[in-house]
Amino acid sequence: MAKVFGRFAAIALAVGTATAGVAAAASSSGFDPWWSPGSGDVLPASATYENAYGAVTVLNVDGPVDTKGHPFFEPIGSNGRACVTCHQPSDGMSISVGTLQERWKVTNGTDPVFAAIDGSNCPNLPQDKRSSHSLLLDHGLFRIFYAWPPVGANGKPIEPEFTIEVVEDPTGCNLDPVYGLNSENPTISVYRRPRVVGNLKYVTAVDRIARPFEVKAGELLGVDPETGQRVSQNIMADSREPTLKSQARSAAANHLQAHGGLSPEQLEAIIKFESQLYVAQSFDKKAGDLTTPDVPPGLGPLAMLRSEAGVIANGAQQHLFGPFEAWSAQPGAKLDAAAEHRASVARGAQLFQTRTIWIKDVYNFNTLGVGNPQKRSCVGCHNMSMTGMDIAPGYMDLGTTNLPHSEAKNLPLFKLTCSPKAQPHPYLGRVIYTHDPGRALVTGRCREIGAITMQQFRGLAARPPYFSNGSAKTLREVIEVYDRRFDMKLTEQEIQDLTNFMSVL
Amino acid sequence: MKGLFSLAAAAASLVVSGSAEAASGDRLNFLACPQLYDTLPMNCWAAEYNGERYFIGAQRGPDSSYLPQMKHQVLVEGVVTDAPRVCGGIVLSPLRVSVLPELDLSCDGPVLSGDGLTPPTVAGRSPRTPLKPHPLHEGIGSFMLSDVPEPPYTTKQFRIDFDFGTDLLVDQMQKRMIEIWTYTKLAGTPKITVEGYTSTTLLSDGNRLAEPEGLAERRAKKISGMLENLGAPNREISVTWVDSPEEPDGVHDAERRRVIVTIEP
Repeated sequence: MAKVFGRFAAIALAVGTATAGVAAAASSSGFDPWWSPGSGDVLPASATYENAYGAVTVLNVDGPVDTKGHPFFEPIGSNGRACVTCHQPSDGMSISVGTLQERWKVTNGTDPVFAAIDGSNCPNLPQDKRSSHSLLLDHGLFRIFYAWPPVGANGKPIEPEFTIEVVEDPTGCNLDPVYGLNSENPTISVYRRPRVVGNLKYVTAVDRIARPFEVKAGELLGVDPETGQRVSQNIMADSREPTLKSQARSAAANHLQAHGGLSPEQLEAIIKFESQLYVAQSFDKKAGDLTTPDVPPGLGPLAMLRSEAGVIANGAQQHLFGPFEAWSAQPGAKLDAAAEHRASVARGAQLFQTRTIWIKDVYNFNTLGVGNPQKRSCVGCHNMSMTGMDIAPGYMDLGTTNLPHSEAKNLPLFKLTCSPKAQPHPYLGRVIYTHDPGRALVTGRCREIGAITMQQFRGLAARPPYFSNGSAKTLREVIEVYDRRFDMKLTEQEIQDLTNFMSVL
Repeated sequence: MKGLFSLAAAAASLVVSGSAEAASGDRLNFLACPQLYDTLPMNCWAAEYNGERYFIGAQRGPDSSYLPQMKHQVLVEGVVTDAPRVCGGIVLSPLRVSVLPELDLSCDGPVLSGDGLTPPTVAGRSPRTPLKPHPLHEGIGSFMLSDVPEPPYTTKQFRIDFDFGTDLLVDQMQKRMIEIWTYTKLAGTPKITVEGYTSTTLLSDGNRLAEPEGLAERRAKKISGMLENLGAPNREISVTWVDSPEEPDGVHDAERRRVIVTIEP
């Protein structure tokens, strides 16, 4: 079965033993890009897939991957899923709502991606009904469930600084007698988007300026339990897993229901595969090919391979995703449609780097000593070169999950009440309403309620919706959330420029 | 004032009383809501006390410590100078500004116009002397490094300062932790003693502002835990703490919010 969309030219890899190529020349119409677990197909060195804005490319630097027997692609658990189920190459190694809806239609809801454990709103619901999977199908959200109270990295229970009450429970899971907070095994369920498996040298890069400290929170960074080395804490939405290895173990147990665990060989194969993947948008319907020598040098998947990881680029004169001068237009210049779109992207890049806004009430940004509010541009937080992540690491309470700013709908709502002895949340105090306590579910700390680790900007076009809770359906909506949250007063042109900029990454 | 901290009337002896006009050299300790002025090239923070405006920080100034936050009161502890006003405010030096941890929505306000105000001076950071590389510092971030001391490695004390009411380790104190850890490595297998303290601040209006009970313990345990986490090669770490042992004097109160680490080779 053809897996790869081959409309655009193959990207020549100039590294190692990699071979260039697009395995199949299927056209976009009628082509099913879904990668089923256990298919045994070969994932080529360069695999390109169409999306709404153009196409995304997944590079396998080590060359074509024979997926037969490969633990990333085989259903190694009891529910028929593999890692690839939720990290689809066609969706930039995450998964989009469009893909999920198509999969529901094609399989009548029987695909393992809809597994009761976390592919439904709650395992207790009738699994053959669409409504039982509404959060996945409408918002791309999987159920993430935590034993409550949490257990620390040392294996000892953590005494939380707050109590949790369920205020609204639209999925029924948090009040369920088996799966809920008051069950025999108290569990809290929140709902999140899967992250990109790709460009991981950036995601795992440890802050080279402040290590061994997480400079913003004044804490030591976590450590890899096997090596004792400091870790980035940027892998998960709540930074709960320190390494790719621990993430793979956890995902196998929870999402794949592989209760026997992963063998050392399986773990090694998964990590090796994940670590050589690079993902970025490679073609734009309006701007054209993003991989040719004349485009801005930070675009395309090869740029992700070639660039250095862990570099901070948060100054007005720096270029977070490389310079975009190649696409800048002279004022008054006559431009064709493609050139005008490229100029818009270049303006968006410039806005992202230099447009200052008053950033206010963001835990783990305004609290780091810079003052509240602080006038900075987007790169003040999104500062890691080539990815737009935070190098520090990047868990912050932007307001995407906490009231009053959260715009999430149809999610459970919790009331968290912090102990008088705890250090309160700096901008919400001791009683906080949230759809997802975020990092606080791991640490039990009041001040970290709602803190979510930011994710990379590459391949965005391939994987809507956005934010950890899928509350922004489009890239434009992402921009509009920031516009409202920080009263940016963006013009229509600026919103469009920023949207266009994000769509080519 | 929120309930976490206790205020009690007391006589002020060494600090300016609430009704007196402050003169150069006078020490002022007061609580206030911060004000933020939109000035270029740097924004400036100010606070008012007894009808007078004081300059309390420049956003990203070379010496800026932890800056004020809207929705929080600040504790300002400083000495009045006769330096030219900044942003219309009297300059205090030395200056300590602590953001009180409790939320105080009465301290939320708009960014004020900086038109006509003298902005903070943009002073360049002094060039950093290149550090001598040392094997101990492999893997340590560039910001956290300082020169490794030469032998002999005798008993040495380090002080870690805290802002009022918190155990947050600000960036300069994170750097100090690396200095301490480095010294423990150089000192062989030393005995390490960690002593945590809180203090009560004597305000200029005669009131006392006490840090919360239990904070001295949290500070001490945090520092000893960090030393263990960093892999300090100790024989033992002795950890003690005591809340507000000294009588506040309005002069030394800020420096008493501390942890003392003693390294004995």
